[in-house]
Parts: sequence; structure tokens; C-alpha cells
Amino acid sequence: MSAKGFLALVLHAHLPFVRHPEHNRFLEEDWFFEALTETYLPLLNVFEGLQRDNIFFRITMSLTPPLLSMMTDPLLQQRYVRYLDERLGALEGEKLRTRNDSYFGPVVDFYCHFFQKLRKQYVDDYQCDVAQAFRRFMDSGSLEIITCGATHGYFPLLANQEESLYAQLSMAVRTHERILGQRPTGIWLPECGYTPGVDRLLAEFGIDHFFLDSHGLLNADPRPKYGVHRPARTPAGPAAFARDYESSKQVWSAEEGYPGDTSYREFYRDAGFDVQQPHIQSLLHAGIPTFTGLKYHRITGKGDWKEPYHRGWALERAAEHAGNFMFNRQRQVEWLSSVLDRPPIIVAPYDAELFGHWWFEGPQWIDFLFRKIACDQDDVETITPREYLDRYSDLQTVQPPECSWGAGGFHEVWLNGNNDWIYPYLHDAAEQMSQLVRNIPDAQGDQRWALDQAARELLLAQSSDWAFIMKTQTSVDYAVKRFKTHIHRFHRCVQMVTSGHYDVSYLKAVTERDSLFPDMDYRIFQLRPCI
Amino acid sequence: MNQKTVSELRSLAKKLGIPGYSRMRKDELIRAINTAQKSKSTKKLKTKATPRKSVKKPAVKASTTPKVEAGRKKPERESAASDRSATLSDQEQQIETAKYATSIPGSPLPPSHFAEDLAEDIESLPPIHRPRLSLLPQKPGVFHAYWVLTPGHLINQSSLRLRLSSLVQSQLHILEEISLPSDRGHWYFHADPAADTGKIYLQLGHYNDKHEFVIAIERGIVHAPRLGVSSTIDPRWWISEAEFRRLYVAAGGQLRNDQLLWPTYNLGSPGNRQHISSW
Repeated sequence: MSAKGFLALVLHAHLPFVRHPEHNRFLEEDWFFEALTETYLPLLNVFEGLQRDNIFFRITMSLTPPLLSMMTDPLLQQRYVRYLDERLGALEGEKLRTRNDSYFGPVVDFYCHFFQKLRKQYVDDYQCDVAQAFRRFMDSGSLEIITCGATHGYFPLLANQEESLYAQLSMAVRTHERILGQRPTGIWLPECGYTPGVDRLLAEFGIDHFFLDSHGLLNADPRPKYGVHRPARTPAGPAAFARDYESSKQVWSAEEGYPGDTSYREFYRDAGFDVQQPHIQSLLHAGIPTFTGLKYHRITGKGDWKEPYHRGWALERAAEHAGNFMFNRQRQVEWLSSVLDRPPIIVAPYDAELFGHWWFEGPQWIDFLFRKIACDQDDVETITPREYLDRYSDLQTVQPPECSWGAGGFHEVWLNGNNDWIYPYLHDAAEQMSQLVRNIPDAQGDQRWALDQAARELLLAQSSDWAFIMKTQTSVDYAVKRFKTHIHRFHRCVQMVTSGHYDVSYLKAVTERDSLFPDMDYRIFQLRPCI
Repeated sequence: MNQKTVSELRSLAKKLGIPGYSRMRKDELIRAINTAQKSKSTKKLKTKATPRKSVKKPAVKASTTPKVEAGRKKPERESAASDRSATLSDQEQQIETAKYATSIPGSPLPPSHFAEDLAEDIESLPPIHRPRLSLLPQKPGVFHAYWVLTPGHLINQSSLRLRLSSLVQSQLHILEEISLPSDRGHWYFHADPAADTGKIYLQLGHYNDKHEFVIAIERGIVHAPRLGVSSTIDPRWWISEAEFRRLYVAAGGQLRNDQLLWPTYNLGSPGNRQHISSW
């Protein structure tokens, strides 16, 4: 090996389970459709190209259980094809509207081509199943897929009832295995939320590595000899990898970060607001302007004046930024290998949806980055944390402190005046659920059905997304309603079990709506793995 | 603004902290200055309307439903850039928020109506029937408690008190004690974030005739979030103070008053207390 050090790019892909068969169209389902359009399919397209051109690359992605469930859901697959077709239809109108417009005509052409290619990729190449497309890269070894909490429950605030953590992990491992064909060995703890003891649970599930924010390792006890640039073992055995702040900052930071470049696509300008014509209006929900995904402007600069998006210029910048990122990692590895007596690993984790959804050119940046790293230098090699552990097993053992990667570094984002009201309900429900498991170890028939559905509802209520949205004030109304709905449904199911009167038509309706985890076993809410 | 010369505009732009002003044309300068001035004044208003720190919430929440529409804010890229105090994770949070964005922040959303065919009355969640006491760490120095008392569970409810203590070297220190204003509520306790708090206990009880505290329910947290680095060094993985400092700072940490500190810590000042809320 000639490389002086390693780079592990880790993308955390997650969306909460949003699926409303009771409505013909539902605004929040667009979260998933937009992520497919701008992030998941473009990333797969990048991987396809790298593989076709025989470029060596290693990348790690967490595909969370709700996301895998949505990727494989027939109703959402069908609705996504409709989403694509509606955009292709509207773009015909846009072509007509901009046929003499030398500024926006080319942007509309770009989108026509973009959506046509997406549709072909999704329908013809993948038969609408994106999870299986990711799985192929996992099987070829370029992509390591790790898991996450079953519904992205925030572990430190659920840990007072360990049954909840066991349930989150049991259902995660089951879903990963059911859809991807193998047990996960790595996990992205939801929001990197760690509390001492979580490592013991991970070990029980055969998970041997996870990720922390930088301070989770830097402030560990005893002091980590290699800082964040080598993993350390936790007391129970699983290895903790920590985020490299410098590489994060280059991508995230509003001041120095790449995504704010003036040539890149502007997120907040959208045809849904700018174009008042029937073919665009037909994409809206209830006639009120919302994002359509047709975004025609580049960031341009500060202020409201935005110029047309120019794909070629944007790609040029993405290539330059990839080169800059690589150069900085080379310098970093050079320095680190001069001060550390073992090969360093730079762990660069991001929200997957940053690439494509927020930073439209992000997937192309990843493409350029892998190509440059493979062809232009020998200092840095890409690796997955799994491979690093296989090569280097002599790790220091430390106890990380309680931490997360949220604003402030602890639990404030998910526990504050906007969302603290949810915890009494969550804790109370978890206590009831685990008591039911103890009292009814072997439920059958309708009783089993109601208990399984209660467990689903509780897992859905535990999703950290609701607390996050309440805190950050986007779509709060939806998050509050979702949380209350799941708590309500949980209680109705539990009530059936305690009263012995089963409302089968209600159970049927609710099971059809909150339909994830077909292999649910309510006994996941107990103090041991149920996998 | 149009009357001003380019050099006057540049010096104004400099004062306003507009990046890249020296390369701007006159019209760009005017636009940038207008935006900066606008965002400066709206920012002042916004801070007033929506306190950033979660602990500064209204004293008593009268309604059972949380406010859902308060102060939606447009997370503009430019406003983040000009806010130099914004930490990396704040920016990440802003970007993560984009995942759930279906509209330009601040513009009206289509009504989020859920189907009512299942006769689900989600607005009146079933009350919690069993008594509960919970202690959760929020961040170094801040502990969140909530309690639910049910009728008949505890007598003398009017004199019930909630107390947060720490156990350091087998000595119990009372950090804060409050009297319970209602049979269910939330409270954020504050302690010195930098102190070694050891094991934290939350006790609910009352004083008897002899002024002794009688504990009815107790909760303990073993791990209070810690601020700063460990002082222990593993001899097998020995690292000198100087080397560790160098690594820590290179990894993004800070050295402040001879102490190593991670910069994203966003500690509320212990002065912000008052957060009883009932539901």
C-alpha cells in the first residue's frame, strides 16, 4: 500500500416514513420524491459511471429502515412514476413558454433531459426498486450499507427504557436483512446520539462499529491517543469512528463551504412560485405555491436578483471544488502521518440529502472527487470503516461521553420548549408496551395483530424527525399531527388488547396506512435482541 | 443610494461586513447594501419575536397543544453567511431542515388535513394514568425533569418539592429545589456546566414536621454530559499534554483559558431559568 492515509466518505440517508394511501396526493410525500429525484437516483447514476469506467471507489451509506421501506413500497413507487410523468408533462408546456427565451430555454431543456433520464433509470433500469440498485453496489464491494434505528428514534432520550432501544435495533436489523439480504455490521446512530451503554446493546446485535461527532471521541476517557483520526473501541467492543471537522467544514460551512458558490443552483427559487401558468399550477397541491423541483436559477450572489442556471458552469465549479477538497485531504494526511505512528483515517460524514437536494451539484462533486482520488494522486485512498477495522484491529479502548452531532453537541435539538411535551407520552407508551410483552409472551390471532400494530405505532411515534421539525419550525403542523396520530393509534390498539374487544375494521385500516415492517413482532420491546 | 460614489458605497459595504465588496460593480454594491441593511433590521425584530434559546420559553404553557406556527424563519443562505456566530452544526441543522421543506419558508402552506374517516380524535390524547418522574440530561449543566402525579398517589400535594442533587465523593449536594406548582409539568434545572457533577439525583418529596426531607420518588442519572476533555491518560496509549493539545486544536477544538474546549458547545447561561410548563 502506498497511500499515507484513508478517506471514508459516509452518507447518512434518511427520511421519516410518509405514506398516505387515504389521500390521492399528499404534500409531504414529496420529501421522498424530491430526495429520489435529486439525491438517490443521481448518486446511483454516479456509482454506475464509476463502475463502468473501472474507477476504484469506496463509500459508506446508511439507508435507514423507513427509507428502505419507502423505496420498496409499491404504492410510493407508483406515485413516484406519476411524479416524474407530471413533471415531464409540465416541461412540455415550459418548452413552449420559453421557446424564444435564450436565458431560460436552455435551463428548461436541461430539465427535460434530466427527467427523461431519471424516468428511464428508475423504471427501465431499476424496475422502480432503488434499494436493489444500492444492493448491487454493496455486493460488488464499493458501497458499504449500514443501518440506523428502526424509525430513527433518538437513543439518549429513549434510553431510560432500554426496551425501546432494543426495539429500535431489532427492527432495524430485521429490515436491513429482509431488504438487503444481510445483517448490518455498522450503524449510524440516529443523529449520532450516543449515551454510555449503547455500545453494549450494539455488541449484542453483532454491530461492531458506529459514528460519533468529533467531541464524542476527543472528550472520551481516557484521552484518545490518535484524536479523531483513528477509531477507538468502546468498553463493550464496538469501534467508534469520529467525524473529521475540517473536511466537514469545507462542505457545510456557510462562509467557506462549497454549496454556497454563486454558480450552483439556487434552492429557494422554484417554478412553483415563479410561473403562473396552468401546466405548472397542475403540479401544485390545492393550488397553493409549493416546490415543484423545477428550479431555474443559480445562486448568483446575495440579494434577490438571480440569474439563469447554467449547468456547464456549475459542473466546472464542482470539478474545481472536488480538486480543492482532495488537495486539502492530501495535505491533511501528510501532516497526520508525520505526527501519528499509524495510518490515519479521515471520516467525512454528511446527510446524504445534502448532495443533490440542497446542493444540486453534490453528486457530481462526489463523482469528480472519486475520479481525481483514483487517478491524480497516491497519498489518500478511499476506504470503508469496515475495511479499516479488518486491516487495523489494534485499537485503544475509551469511554465516549454522552453526545450527538446536533446543534450544541448534546440533546438540546430534540429536548427543548418546543418538543419536550412528547416525552411523557413516549415513555409512558414504551412502559405499557414492554409490560404487555411480559404479560402476553405468545399472542395469537387478533390479539397478536393488535399488539404488532401497537408496536409499529410506537416505533413511528419515536421517530426523531417529529421533535426535530417541531424545533426547527418547518412543517410543524404535520409533525405534531403525525406524533399525535401514532400515540392515538397506539392507545386504541392497546385498548383492544386490554378489553378483549377487537375492532377489526379499524385495525385493518390502520395496518394498511402504517404499513411498514411486515415482519413485525411486538416482542421486540423486551430487554434482549429479537431478530 | 444611487447618488453615492463607488468608494463611498465600498466603505459602507465594508462597515456592514459584506464579503467580496471590493470586487462588486456599483449596482451590485447597492443591491448588497440594501439586502444587508434589510436583513440587519429584520434580524433584530426576529430575535425579539423568536428567542433562540429553548430555555427561554414562556413561563406557563396554558394550552395543551404546543404552538405550531410561531415565527417561521426563512433560512436564507446569505443570512447564515453574515451570522458569524452561527456554528457549524447550526448550519447543518439549517440544511437538514431543507429536507422537510416543501415551500419557501414563510410562505403559506396548503392546509395539512388528515383524513377523518377513522374517527380518530387526535387532539385529545389519553391522559397518562400512572405517576411518572423523569430526569433527562439536555446538555452540560442543564437537566430536564417532568412529572405526572395522579390523584390519590401522593398526599400533601401542596407541599411537594422537587430537588436536584449531585453525589460527588459520597457527599450529596443539593443543586436546586423547587416546589411543585401543579400535578404535571416540566422543569429545566441548571447547574454549573463546568463542575464535576458526579451522579445526579432527582428526588420528589416533602418536608416532615422535623424539617427532614422525605423522599417519595427518586430518579438518578449516572452519566451527566461532561464538558471538556478527560484528564486520564492510558499508559499503553500514552500521549503528551503538548501533543494532545496540538491534535485537539487541529481537529477543530479550542484552547481557551488554558482549557481544551469543543467550540459547538452552546451553553445557556444559568440565569435563564423559569420554565415550569404544565400540560
